[in-house]
Amino acid sequence: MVLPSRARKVVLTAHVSTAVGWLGAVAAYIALDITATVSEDVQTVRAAYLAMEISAFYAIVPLAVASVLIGIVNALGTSWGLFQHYWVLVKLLLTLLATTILLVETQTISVLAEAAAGGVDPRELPGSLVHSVGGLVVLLVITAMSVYKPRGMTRYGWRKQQQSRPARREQHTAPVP
Amino acid sequence: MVVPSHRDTGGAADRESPPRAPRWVLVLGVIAAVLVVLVLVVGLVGGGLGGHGPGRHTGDGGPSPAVGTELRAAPDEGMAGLDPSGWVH
Repeated sequence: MVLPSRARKVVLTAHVSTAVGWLGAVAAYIALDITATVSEDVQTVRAAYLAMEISAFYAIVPLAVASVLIGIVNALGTSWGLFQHYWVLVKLLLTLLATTILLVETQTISVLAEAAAGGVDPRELPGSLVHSVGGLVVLLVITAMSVYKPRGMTRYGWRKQQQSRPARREQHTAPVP
Repeated sequence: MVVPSHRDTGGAADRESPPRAPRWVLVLGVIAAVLVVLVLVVGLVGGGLGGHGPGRHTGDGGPSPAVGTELRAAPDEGMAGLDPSGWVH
């Protein structure tokens, strides 16, 4: 169902805001992650791990979930659809993959914060740079895909378009009353 | 979101048979497959897939209060260094 123009713009604004917010929150998380990995100051490293947990749970995860849900509404609310064009479909799959890995990774982030808050040397902890930088790369690919919108229609999209063509032809050829 | 134009379909609407997947989708698929294989190989070489997860980072079975206890104690003896009363000189 295609949304009316005004509703479409509201949904699109929410989608862009949450998606870009997710990207920004991950960038801030990476700054903390690098600090936790390279700093030699125990208190700074400990604070970085605790801040990583807070930013993951109260910024990254809510923005990621909101971005996925609003993105689905946004795609279904326009004539692009969710499964009709490859770039929308690939974006959906990459977003779901990134969100799934993020939700699994939150357990690790909690464990690291818990360990850092305990009596161990937090500089011995490994950080989570591989996952956070990997996540940032995926989000940048998704963002680029949204801007470039590479061509390509899926079989489902093609069938939908074929079905709608006779209806359009009939509309065009119908006699004017 | 911009409404798709006929150009965005890559001319698919004019065809009599379903369109094939564009080259960029195939390239992306190959990259994804290579990454999956790479992750599997790294997982297997690095102590098996069961080792992937929170416990992998701390050396024990998973999240628990005793996590990371095998690591050496911090020079400031844990949270004692965070005691604000010690910050005033």
